Amino acid sequence: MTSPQSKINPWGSAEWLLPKIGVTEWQGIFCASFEPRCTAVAEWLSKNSNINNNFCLRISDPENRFTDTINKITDVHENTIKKHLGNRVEIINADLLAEAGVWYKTINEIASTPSASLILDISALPKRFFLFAIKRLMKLPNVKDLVICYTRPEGYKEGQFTEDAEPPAALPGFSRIEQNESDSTVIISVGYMAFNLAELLEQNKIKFPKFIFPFPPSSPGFRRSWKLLHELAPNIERQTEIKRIHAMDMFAVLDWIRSICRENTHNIDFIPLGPKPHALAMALAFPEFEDRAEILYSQPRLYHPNYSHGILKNSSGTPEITSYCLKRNYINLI
Amino acid sequence: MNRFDNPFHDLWVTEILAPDEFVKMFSPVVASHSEDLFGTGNVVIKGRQGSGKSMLLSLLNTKTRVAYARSGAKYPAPASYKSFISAGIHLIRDNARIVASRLSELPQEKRKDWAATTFADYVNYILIQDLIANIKYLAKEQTLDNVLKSELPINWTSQNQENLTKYIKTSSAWYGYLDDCNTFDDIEKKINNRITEYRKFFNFNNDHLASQVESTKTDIGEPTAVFADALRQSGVISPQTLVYLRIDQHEELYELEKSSGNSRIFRQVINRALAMRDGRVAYRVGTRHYAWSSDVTIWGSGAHLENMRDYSIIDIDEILRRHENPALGISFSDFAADVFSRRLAAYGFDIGSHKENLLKSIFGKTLTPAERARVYFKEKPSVLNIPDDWSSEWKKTLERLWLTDPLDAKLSEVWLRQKKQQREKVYLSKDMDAALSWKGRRYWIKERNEAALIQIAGDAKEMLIWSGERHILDLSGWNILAFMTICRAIWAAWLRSTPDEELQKTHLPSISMDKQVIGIYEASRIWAEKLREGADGDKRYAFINSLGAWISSTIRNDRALSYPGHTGFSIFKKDFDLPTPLTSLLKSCRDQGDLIESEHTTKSNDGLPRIKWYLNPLLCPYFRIPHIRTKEPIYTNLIELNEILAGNISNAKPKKIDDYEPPIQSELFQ
Repeated sequence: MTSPQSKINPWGSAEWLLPKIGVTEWQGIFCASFEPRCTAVAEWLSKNSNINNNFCLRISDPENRFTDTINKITDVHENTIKKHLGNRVEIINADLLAEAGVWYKTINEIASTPSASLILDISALPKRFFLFAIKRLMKLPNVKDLVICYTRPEGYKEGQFTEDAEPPAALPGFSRIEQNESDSTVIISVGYMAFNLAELLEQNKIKFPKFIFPFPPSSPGFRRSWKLLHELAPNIERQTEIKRIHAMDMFAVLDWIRSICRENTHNIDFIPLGPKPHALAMALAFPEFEDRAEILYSQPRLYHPNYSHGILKNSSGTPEITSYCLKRNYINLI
Repeated sequence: MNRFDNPFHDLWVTEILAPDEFVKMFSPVVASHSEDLFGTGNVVIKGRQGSGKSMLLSLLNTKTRVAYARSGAKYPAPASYKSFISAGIHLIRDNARIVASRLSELPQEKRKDWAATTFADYVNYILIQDLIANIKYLAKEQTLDNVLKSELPINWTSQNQENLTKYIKTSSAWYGYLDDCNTFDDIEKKINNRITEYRKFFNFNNDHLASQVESTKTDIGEPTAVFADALRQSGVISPQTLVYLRIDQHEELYELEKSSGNSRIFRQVINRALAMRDGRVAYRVGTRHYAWSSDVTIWGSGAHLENMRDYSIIDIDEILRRHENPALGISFSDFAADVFSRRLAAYGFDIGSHKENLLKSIFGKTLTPAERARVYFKEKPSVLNIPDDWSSEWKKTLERLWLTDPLDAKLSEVWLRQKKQQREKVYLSKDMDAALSWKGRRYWIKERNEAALIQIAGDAKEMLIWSGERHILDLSGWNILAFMTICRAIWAAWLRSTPDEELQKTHLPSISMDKQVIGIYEASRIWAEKLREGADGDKRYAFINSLGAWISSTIRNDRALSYPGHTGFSIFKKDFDLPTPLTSLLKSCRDQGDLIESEHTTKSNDGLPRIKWYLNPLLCPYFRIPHIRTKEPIYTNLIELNEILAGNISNAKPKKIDDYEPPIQSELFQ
């Protein structure tokens, strides 16, 4: 695997980017979930690309009061995805809190075919899974092409939409290799909920917090993001860096993170609370700094069935699907 | 740090402060009453969240001790303390949970043994790595200024390192892993490599654990003991030097097991280390109450650890709890006052002659119940609820009393509403002197003062007053984190409302009641919001909110105040011992400090043992319930508590956090 001589950041809307990549047949990895947006990529690809040998993950939260409701909604979405993909899909059931070894096996099986051209739809996948999957897929020699797709919902539920977050811990596959007591540079992508991470920030020596703020913000998202920022850093110092980057501009986040991390030899703690493309950038930046970096997260055990609603459409009325090409013809583009 | 900052800004001393700042701010009060901490046996330090366990363990850190020695401050150990060096593992920071990340790749029948042996080996090597780092650090510091040389000399000579290498290699504890090492540097590198191998494997960077690691896994506790002994035999440390091994955040294992399903394995491995009762090393374990007591089984043997034989306990909550016999514990007031004055001194306040009564100097005296009732009164017309059929003499007397002593008026009304007086129709009496007999019943009054005040303030639509030294200490519930949270919020309210010119002139503030009321309410609200953090966060939040609503409305609706003790609840101990989701939630609430638990001497005829809980006192302002515990709690059962949790009891419907009326910020309108 080699890096291109002149660096390009191939990303944009799926309808613009995917035809330019030149792959004739894709293998899709989807997620049947309670979120309506989980069907959009499968539908779009079924109409606009040649896709085969697909996988659809169905990830279950621990049993809770919403389980029946969530299962019913997910059944409908799973059938929709199957309808779009015909018989070309294998359903994989897994638990949200499964040990990472289970994910490891799943990813290895998905990428077991040589010269695989994969599209991974992260729209409704939990960060716990998709960050791990991307790290692994970037490493597996069978993966020839890798594109990540992300569909935005029309909106998120106001107020609380997850519950019972686990104590903060490094996400599977993203813990620090060399533990030492040096200070940490903490890079936090700001979203809507702090889970248990506010206290972690308060208890530990966070001397150099840096925030990535989705910009331009959408309403009412900006209000919630500012509220979270205040919660995480109630006495924020004036010189604290709050970097504004578009919620979809994963490559800009990646570049910024890399420049920050290369500036010093501190430990680095990534905290992905914000948009999934920002979290994706953290996972892609991680391998370069893995001796001293970790990605911390506080995994909710329960998601509300109305976590998000609708599928955001573009001006022509089709779903707004953003795509990122990470690998093309075995060339690592990040 | 300067006196225009909030001295209580950093609540968590241990994790944030550099060692020299730690010396300035650490209060020795608890440590100086914890002789076992510096003894030769294993010690388990128990306490709720924020009780100061990690702070106590940090005292054993070599860097902290060096800072003490260099500052000239007395190291807060009892006179009997001996020479020791320590190493530690912080189970959260050192990410012990990653050991469970690849179990599913193994056949089911091999998982438990693999998890136990791998966890044991991982912990062993992390502790040894830290022990080496501590030895080398202190040796280096001693070359600068002989710091700690008289009590803990480190002889890190080439000859001693050679001897150390020889002694280590002759032991079979390593199962041959160190056989190819010729120098101590080789050994250190090999140990570091092993930990790196583990982390790479657990991070899925490598497909397999290196075979040299897999085939040489060590028994829990043995390599650390061998290493400690080798340090003594080689002359690096003296033969009398004790080696302490700290295991902090032990409750992490409890949480890990709950989510991974590898029930109890990791705790049982730690228990096995303690069961060795090996004079070569001694363990110091920081944990929470139920995280420790729910499983003391020893891995591999099935036997149980025994308190006083295998370990002793330092229960910080128990030490600081108010005891009827003061000799049984230490005064939380003294501890809090010491923490308070150290903070102010570190931030440049001139404490001078106020040191003895600093809390009172700044926060003033807490108003008596009668004084608070007068503040609620504010010349308002009576809010007493006097029925029409009471005698005109009673009506006049109560109205008159309301003008001079509203609390007395309220208690008179309450007394008349009680069953006996109702039965005897005392409310029809015209002889007032004979009728006001309750005034001589001191305990009757004491038990009802606070509940009566809650009702007066509620009826008068006034915010509740919590202020002054006594209230601040009482609301802290013997928990130093709660105390610091209150101080921080009050200080912030004072800083917000004090102009800079006045701050310049203020050497030691005297914070007015209105600022304190706002600060305490804010601290209570923060505490209530923080319920969501930590294990079972949202479940605990929902449960405590329902309990708060239930207790609050019970007190408000008891117009005769027949049950002033209904600020807490009690169930049969046998029910509590049942493993149900609710009892597990109660335990979690106790460990997180949301509920204060104690044995309950039952007054019921069955005589069966009961156990009772009260809300953390700091939640009382938020839920508008009395913080004083008195007389009999609500006798309840698991069925009713489950109904409360489900919100099926009408007066236990929790409000949303935004529904609670914040206090009127009178200062804004002045």
